[in-house]
Amino acid sequence: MSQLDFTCALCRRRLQERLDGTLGERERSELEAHLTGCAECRTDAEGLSSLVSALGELPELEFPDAELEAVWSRTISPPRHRAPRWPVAVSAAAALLVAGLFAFERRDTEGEPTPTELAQAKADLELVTQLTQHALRVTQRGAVDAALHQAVNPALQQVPLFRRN
Amino acid sequence: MSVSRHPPRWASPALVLLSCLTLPLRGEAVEPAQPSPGSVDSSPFARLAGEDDELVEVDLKPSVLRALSRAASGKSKDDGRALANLSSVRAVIVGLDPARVDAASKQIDATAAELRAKGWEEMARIREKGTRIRVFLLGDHERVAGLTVLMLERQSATEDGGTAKTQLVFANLTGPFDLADLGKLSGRLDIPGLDTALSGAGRDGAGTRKNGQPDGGGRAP
Repeated sequence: MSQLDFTCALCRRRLQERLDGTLGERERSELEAHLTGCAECRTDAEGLSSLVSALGELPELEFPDAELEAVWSRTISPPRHRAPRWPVAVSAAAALLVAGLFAFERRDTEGEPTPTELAQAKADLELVTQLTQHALRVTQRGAVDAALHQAVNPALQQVPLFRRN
Repeated sequence: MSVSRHPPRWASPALVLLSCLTLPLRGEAVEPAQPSPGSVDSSPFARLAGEDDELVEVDLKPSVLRALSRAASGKSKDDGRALANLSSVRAVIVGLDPARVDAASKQIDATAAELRAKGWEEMARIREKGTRIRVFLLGDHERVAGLTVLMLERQSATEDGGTAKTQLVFANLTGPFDLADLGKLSGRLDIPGLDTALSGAGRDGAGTRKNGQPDGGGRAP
């Protein structure tokens, strides 16, 4: 490939590949040759290098609100497995409970929803929980965006590549 | 033939025993007369829907939630327990015409002010282009008396070039429940047989009312 074929667009792609560590020896030589002759791509390459080192030095972000983080972690994250609680059997109490439950079940089935009503209720409940989760996810994303905006953007502004834009 | 006017000797202690067993359960078997502290009135939000607006109202009462809990327990004890902790689930979802968005926004502010005055904690608030969300909590994370979500979210325009609607969501779940219960119930309730029961029926049962298009119930994001 001649120097003329090696365009600035290709150079930017090669820079990314160099960063990812996927660039071959021959491509690396072509890239270095292009960078020697192209001031604009050299600036980009320097900007990218300083971006990588700047990102490495960024402080670890903390959520702005620990309380809110607790809400998200309980509602959005998958639930943790809980160890089963071993049942405690007390024969007299159990007998009483069984009798009571039997009486309760008999009473409760009088106003029992039909399978169609139950299926409708299940669909409605799924709809409401999904919408609630969606709202909580948006609030979580918003808080993360705000934290990034406050802490990361100023750091990025120090990087020549971003300052130029 | 003579008929005795007195009940048999064994009947009296049996009746006393039966009364003792059923007395404490009677209060649970009937719907509560007083709304729970976490309950929020949904009617102002339902009134925002115009004649042609799509409206979905959900009102799941304790008896329905208990029945769902029992049905879910067969497949997953966790789901059954999470459902049993919910006292009520109420929601209003409206596909708002753009002309009504301002009124909905004001209603959200009014409800938010009312909730704060009643001691609810505002957990999160988002106001960005096309989206407004406010999340309120009553109680602590382990014993939530009420969770209320107020959301306005602009939907993408329809494929036929129709006006983009804004979705208004009012959701109110009452407990006391654990916030982790909500994570467990997030749209993956596996209750055998219920999906087929719904496929053969209309969507007008179990407290749901709709205007507009017939597919209003399945608009979860």
